[in-house]
Amino acid sequence: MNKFNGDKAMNNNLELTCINCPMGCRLRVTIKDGVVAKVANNQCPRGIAYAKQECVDPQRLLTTTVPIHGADINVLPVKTSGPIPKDRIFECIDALKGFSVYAPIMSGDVIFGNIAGTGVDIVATRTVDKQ
Amino acid sequence: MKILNIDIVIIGGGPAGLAAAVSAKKCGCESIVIIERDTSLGGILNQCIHSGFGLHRFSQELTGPEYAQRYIDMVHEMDIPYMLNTMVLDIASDRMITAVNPQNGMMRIQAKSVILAGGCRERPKGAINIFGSRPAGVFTAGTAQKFVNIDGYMPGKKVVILGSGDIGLIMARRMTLEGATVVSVLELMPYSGGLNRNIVQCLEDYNIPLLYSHTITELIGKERLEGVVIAQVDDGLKPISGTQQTIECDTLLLSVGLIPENELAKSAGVELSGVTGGSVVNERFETCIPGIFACGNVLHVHDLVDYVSEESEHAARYAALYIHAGSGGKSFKRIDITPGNGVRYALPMHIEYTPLDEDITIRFRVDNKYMDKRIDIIFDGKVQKSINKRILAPGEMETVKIGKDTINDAKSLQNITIAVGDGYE
Repeated sequence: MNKFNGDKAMNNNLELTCINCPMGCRLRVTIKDGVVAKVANNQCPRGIAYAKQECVDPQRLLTTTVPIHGADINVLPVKTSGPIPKDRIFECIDALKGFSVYAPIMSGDVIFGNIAGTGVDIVATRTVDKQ
Repeated sequence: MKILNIDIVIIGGGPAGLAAAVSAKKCGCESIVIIERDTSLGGILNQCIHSGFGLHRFSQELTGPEYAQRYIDMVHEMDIPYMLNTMVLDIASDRMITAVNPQNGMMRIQAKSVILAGGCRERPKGAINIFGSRPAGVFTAGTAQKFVNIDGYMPGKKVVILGSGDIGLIMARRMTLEGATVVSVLELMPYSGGLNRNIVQCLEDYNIPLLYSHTITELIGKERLEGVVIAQVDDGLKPISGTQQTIECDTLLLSVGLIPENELAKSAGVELSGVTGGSVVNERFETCIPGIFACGNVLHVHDLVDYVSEESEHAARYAALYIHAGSGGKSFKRIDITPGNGVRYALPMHIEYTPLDEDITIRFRVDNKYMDKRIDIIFDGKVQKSINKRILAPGEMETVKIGKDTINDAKSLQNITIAVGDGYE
């Protein structure tokens, strides 16, 4: 649910927790005429960018695992190479169903390009030797 | 049995052990070994596949395995020896280590210096006394995390989670992404011990309800869990009669605390703190046994791995110094560091070697959630410095730094107390 749309107000004050880093600053956002006009209580500039994005088109990084063959572990940890729209997370998870990889893999290897047409890749986050 | 002689033996190849090893090598030590019981280096980070690591250390948002890989790569580049699949069975007070692995069988290693970096374990179901028979389907959150993220197994389909610390929150999201339904997260306290960002990105994002001031009073099910009885708790954390409800589920994940793993330290005769569960240490991260050091979660449970690395590098520098110089300070005057009002513990517990060579970092946790307070640094009963703090929480480790000159100049100083004070300016 998009917090902005959910509030249904063109002029509103709302509170968001920034998720950029473990600080979790509680941002105070002022919306005027349907636009983020002011962001307060952020400890760094990333909070302002976060609030603006979150109110319009929330994005998230996705981390998950993919089965791997020929290694001493059964699943390989992976992540999206960049943020994807929050409401497309399960679409990306579903696009990986049935997909698996073979060792050896290097951390950073692209193992699935342009997941669900988002323009974002799935990359390995662990280096795994062939067993 | 042949005895191996190694200068620095590091127990544990997770983030603490890895950072310590790299630091010891950088200090010029060649005779080092990391002893790791698992099949690979990386420790707990291998199963922490989510991001949020390394923001302080590398100015990047890394996943757990990526953070570990940075250090594993350094260990390989620097040619630091390590043993995998090797379990340390005993550490004697003279630093003789007994270990075992499939290749070599039993081994004895005489260390000049030992760095305890073995991490922590989870508080198990038996420790929290939930009434019921012992149905399958009850796991600690970390065990479930290992099943999902390393072994590729789903522990269950309909999940209740007890505890809103970060592990519980992270697993709420992980189970949901893998197709389970997380019915509810229950938290005993009126606040969460986890990071705000995790409440948002693990619970709110997936509309998973979080019930504060609740606990589980009974497990339902004989062979397999069928449900849990939950109840609201009062200010004394006791279940309130009449508030019981049953939640249908087949899986219960317990995220109810981490305990530093110190069986080895005990057998060596190391003094432990009743509050942290880890060793009592001085400003060099040295335990009461000269040449035995401790760092990372085995010393006290951390929130951010970046601080584990920092702490472990520090401990290793002094372990390396110990090899070259022995346990020696200049004049000896012990200064106690004690937790005051509102502070649950402070570490290190004392300064042993004065005058100090380095500024000192004191890490501590408060005992409750506080708003608009001060942190007071008190020298022998007098407030030496105050720092305004808008928010203080038990789930967020705090640090204060005191300059070495400030301490060295205070000639008659016997006690430093860290306390929460009123009056935010």
